[in-house]
Amino acid sequence: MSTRVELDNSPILLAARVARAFGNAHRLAYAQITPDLTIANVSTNFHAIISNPANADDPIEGRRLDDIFYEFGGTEDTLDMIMKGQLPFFRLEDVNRVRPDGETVYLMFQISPLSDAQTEAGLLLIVEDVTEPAIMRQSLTQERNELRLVRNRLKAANTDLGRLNRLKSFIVTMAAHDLRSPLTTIRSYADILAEDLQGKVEQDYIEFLMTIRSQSDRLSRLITDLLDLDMIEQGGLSLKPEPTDMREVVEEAYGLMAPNGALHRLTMTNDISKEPVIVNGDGQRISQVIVNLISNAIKYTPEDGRVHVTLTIKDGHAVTTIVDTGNGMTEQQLHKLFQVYYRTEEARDSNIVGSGLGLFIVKTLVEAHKGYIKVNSKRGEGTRFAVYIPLASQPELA
Amino acid sequence: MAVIQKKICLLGEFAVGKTSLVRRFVENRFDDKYLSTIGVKISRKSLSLDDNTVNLLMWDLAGGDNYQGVQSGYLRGAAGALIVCDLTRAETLSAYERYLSQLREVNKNAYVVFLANKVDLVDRRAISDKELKDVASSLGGQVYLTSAKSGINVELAIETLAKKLVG
Repeated sequence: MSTRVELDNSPILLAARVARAFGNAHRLAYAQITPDLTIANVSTNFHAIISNPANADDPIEGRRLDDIFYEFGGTEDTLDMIMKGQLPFFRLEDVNRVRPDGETVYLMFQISPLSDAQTEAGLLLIVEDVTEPAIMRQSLTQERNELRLVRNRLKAANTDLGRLNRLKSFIVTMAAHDLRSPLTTIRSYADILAEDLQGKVEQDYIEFLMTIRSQSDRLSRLITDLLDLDMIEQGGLSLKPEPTDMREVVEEAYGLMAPNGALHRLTMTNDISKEPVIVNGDGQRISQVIVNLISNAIKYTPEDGRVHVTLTIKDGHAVTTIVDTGNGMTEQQLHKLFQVYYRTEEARDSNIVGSGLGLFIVKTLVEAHKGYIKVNSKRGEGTRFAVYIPLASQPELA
Repeated sequence: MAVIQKKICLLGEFAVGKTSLVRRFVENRFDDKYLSTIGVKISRKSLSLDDNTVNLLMWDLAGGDNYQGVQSGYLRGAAGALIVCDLTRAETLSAYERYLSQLREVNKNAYVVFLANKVDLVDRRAISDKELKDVASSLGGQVYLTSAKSGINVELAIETLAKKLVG
């Protein structure tokens, strides 16, 4: 036996008052549901709020709850628990409904006891149109999910790249080691033959042997550069820092390269500090930097040009400069100079050999010493590289 | 002929294709555009199974993530569930345990079928057959490789679940 409740004199009125107090009365509809789950009594805006797909003129009162709201199909036990006071309410949020005009609306359904005193009165169904905030939430959810998908794809791509990188590293290391041994043999035999055959064969043949030797050296340098590059890319670059006098490093590098400069008909000069210039660094790696820069200066300076090497102390740094009177570079070229595999158009078009790895390695090695490089260059006038490496900290004076 | 109504919930991580599976099953169409579902979208489809008409209420629930599941209210009254993963995203597979446990809290006897969706994206597959078999044995239910895009196995999987529910 169910009782029809007059809305104006029931707790539904209270719900309406609450709705008005919150300023959302126009978005709230409510209905009385009898204990046998029949819709008994609805607010005037019920049709409009629930987006009833059926004809708006069809009466709702007298229909079964799950006939109008299939959202409640299968929830009979739950609704029974509410009627018996075993569950305070049942709520469904953000229920998507498509209006007859195709527009999606979002509704919130809440069912609670109509009256604590009159269980025979049944249930109070409140329906709220939450479309406005739901659309905002949908938009945020959409963006969040799309970002997550992109992040997941990037993560997967990164994993793939890491795998490929390790494979590449393995191949480079294997190839480099396999190439090095025969190269050493070729170079050694070329040396022996050149020495033994000196004066016994035509000079042309000796020069052929010298070419074999120089090309072997070139390949060997390339292999060293590739191994260094791989080490840098794998994050495996390690230094053996110790107090190092930059005078010795720069003098040795200059001494090694000066004959080469003379061969290219260049004037090689230097101005190296007479005082000790101590840095905390890996002497072998710093030497590699200086030799590479002097070697480049020699390679890219035309005959009769000059290469000048200096070592000074400035602002707590050992400053080594290598200045040449070569062809110089444009601003654009300077910006790309330290990129891996970068070579200027002129360098690529010339017969000057190079891999485009050297300056990348140089920069990495200098930065590994907490130093930096400055480059100034002007087309047709030459280039100046300045390598700054911090001086070793001095013990405080007693 | 008896008319039986059954509620089925679709559960799974976001963007695994739950809405697309329902759209394929109910409307036999597919839309490539991804639109996140919030809350729940309920669709109906009637099936004739033996001497019965089964009205399936398909509850397409908003996809969760590692941190949230679904509201238990949505699961009340569910006779069965389709738990869905995306074959191109490995992380969507392991989530099934969370959804299963949420479902079991509300309905211990709900029958579950597992759908490994997007089988058409062969080159991007990130979940192996063995991993799916492990899920199947852990669920004690069936696993179907589906594609909402091509429609492969969608009807078969849902009809199999429907038969279990009325059987």
